[in-house]
Amino acid sequence: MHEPQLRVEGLTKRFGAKLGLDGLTFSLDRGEILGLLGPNGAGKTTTFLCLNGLLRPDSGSIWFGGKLLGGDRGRIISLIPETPDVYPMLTVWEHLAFVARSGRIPDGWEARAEDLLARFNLGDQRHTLGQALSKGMRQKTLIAATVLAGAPILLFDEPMIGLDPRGQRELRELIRSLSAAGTTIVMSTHLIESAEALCDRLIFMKSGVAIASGNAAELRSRANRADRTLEDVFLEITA
Amino acid sequence: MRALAYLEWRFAMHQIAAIGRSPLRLAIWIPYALSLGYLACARLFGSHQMPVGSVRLSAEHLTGMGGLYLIALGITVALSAGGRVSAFRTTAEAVLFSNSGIKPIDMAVWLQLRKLLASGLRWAGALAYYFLIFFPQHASPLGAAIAFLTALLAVALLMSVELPIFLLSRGSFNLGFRAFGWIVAATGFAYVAIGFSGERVWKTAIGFVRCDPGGAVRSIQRGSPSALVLFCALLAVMLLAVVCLAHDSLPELYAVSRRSLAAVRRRQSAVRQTRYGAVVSTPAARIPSGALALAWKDWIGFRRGRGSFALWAGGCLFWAACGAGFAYASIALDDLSPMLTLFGASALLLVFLAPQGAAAGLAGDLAKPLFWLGKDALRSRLAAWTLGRALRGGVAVGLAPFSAGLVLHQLPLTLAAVPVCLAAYWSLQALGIGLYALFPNPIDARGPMALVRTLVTAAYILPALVLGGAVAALGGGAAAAAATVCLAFVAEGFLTIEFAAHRFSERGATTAIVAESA
Repeated sequence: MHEPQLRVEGLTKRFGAKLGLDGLTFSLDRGEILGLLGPNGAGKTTTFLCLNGLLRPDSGSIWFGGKLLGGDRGRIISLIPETPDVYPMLTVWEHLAFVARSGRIPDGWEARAEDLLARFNLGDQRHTLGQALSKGMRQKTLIAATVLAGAPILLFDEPMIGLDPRGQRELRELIRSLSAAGTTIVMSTHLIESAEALCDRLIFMKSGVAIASGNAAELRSRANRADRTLEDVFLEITA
Repeated sequence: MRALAYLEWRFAMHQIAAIGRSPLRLAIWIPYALSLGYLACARLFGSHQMPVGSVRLSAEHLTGMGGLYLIALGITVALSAGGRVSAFRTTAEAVLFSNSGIKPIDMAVWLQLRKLLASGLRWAGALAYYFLIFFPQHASPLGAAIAFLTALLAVALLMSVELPIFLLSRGSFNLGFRAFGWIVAATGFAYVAIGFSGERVWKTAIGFVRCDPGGAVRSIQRGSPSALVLFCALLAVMLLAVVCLAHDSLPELYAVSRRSLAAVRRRQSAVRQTRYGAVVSTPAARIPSGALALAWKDWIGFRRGRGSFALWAGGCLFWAACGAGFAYASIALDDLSPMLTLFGASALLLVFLAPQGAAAGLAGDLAKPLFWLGKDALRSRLAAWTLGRALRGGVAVGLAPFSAGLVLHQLPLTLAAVPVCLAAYWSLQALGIGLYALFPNPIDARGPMALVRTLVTAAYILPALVLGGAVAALGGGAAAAAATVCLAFVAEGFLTIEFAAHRFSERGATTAIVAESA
């Protein structure tokens, strides 16, 4: 039987009387890119925090390669939050070195780190302190450090926010290249065109519930709107 | 003005509603209310003895208190003239006010009144404490009420003077106001020194300068109506200054508020500014592996922070001078009680503030995703993180007993000073993160929270001191006592870190987010 890389079953989170997540279930294969779309308050960030282990779900389970994950799963499912918060007093290179040393990554990580710096166009900034980096650079630093740590699944929470068009394009290419290299990606975004172009599958969320899922064509056909944009479909389904 | 009042009213209502939704947060008020109630009952229905201890304030102490007020006033004036003013609560509020079309004068008057009211309410509890403990038993109810009100106005004046001073000091008066502020603060320092140097020094010094701020404090304590009138008049003058000077002040108020709010955010996340744009990265081989990488990160941040090393070196010198000064005073002076009071108060302040600094620093780190990529157990990472911070603070503070030991030729004190202080300081850092794990607001030290912090800190440090004292009393010797104190602090620290790690596990980000939004 085919075992997906990531399997999420019945993830539920309550905030007092309010349901933040209600039985979210999905699965992902290695290298797949999943987009979470939904209006504000739909439960996208809550999903990420629960997946990453920073928020304890009330019920549900998370499986990685057929193994049930416990609370300390941040090194398997790593989160890159909306605000890329790096250490202001460490240089770009030191961020990578810090992650490698604190994560006890075996020798040979330097070559991978150099490769990541080159891939993210961070080579010129290697000795720049975190506090002097632009938002895009901070985001790249954070992604490079997280990828270096070897997380097989990356969660991007609203990664395009605050990036200029060039930065957005670079990030899209980066996500594609990570996916091609086998990293599984889950991202949330309000940019539906970006999501359509980038993601293999999409989940539309509303009030903590996954109300529709599939690729763009499937979602269009489900809404009987093959001639309409995905934005129209999204607005109709989440209305 | 009505719109602004409505805004405040809704704000207060939403806060009450938020408390209603999670009433557990009122728990920190319980010890505060209980202790205040106990003191009030003891004063109203008890004997004529003072309910807590038998502390009676002498004339020297009142001079010292007047000096403390002058220090606070002088620093506030100097900083306000330098643009350190927190007029708006948030930058969003400034924009909202600006877009609303409310006249700048109305806005400034409202800001001033709000500050007055907020500081009055905030300090009422603390002053009630003070009055319940120190106010003379024989005073009439009217005298007590006047005294309480005057003290409240004095504190409100101190807290709300920043906006009028800022408006007054714009332009050519700026340097003058700043200089005036620092002169007042320096005068205050002199009075504090006089007040805590014993009766003989006090009599000589006050006889020479013929001006004693203790007299004003005494007038307030006696419930003098003229003091009440004076402070009312001063507050009215401040309000009038705002009315006269605020007509074109919005851009400047917005700018200084943004600066002050950014400074508060930096303080909360313990971020220091650096003078470097680009630096040479540390070779990876020099970075320790595992949890100790966090201690390295702290060290490198300290090394690169603007003025960090100078500040630390200054702190080392200060504590070494304090220790040596205390030791010489113990040889030269007959009455050591004022020195002991001052030294004890400084030590207590440090014991109280050290955990808060740790909590503020950790809040910033927990919010960073890279913190969570470490492979070692969370408890190990927290222990290493606290160790990195404690090394500097512990060594600096330890220089006080170290230099005292050198001056007094007390070898055991000299040898034990730094290790004991290091262990205690590390343990206090651990206490800070333990408290942060319980109450995720690193800098809240207002009334109820201050009491909770004080009680927890006292309960935390007492066992180590009692154990050390017991070992010394049983004839174990100074070395054994010092070792016992060290071990007790370290054990308490590890237990607290274990507790904090358990609390943070799976909720670190939310804890930090709560702290950031608080």
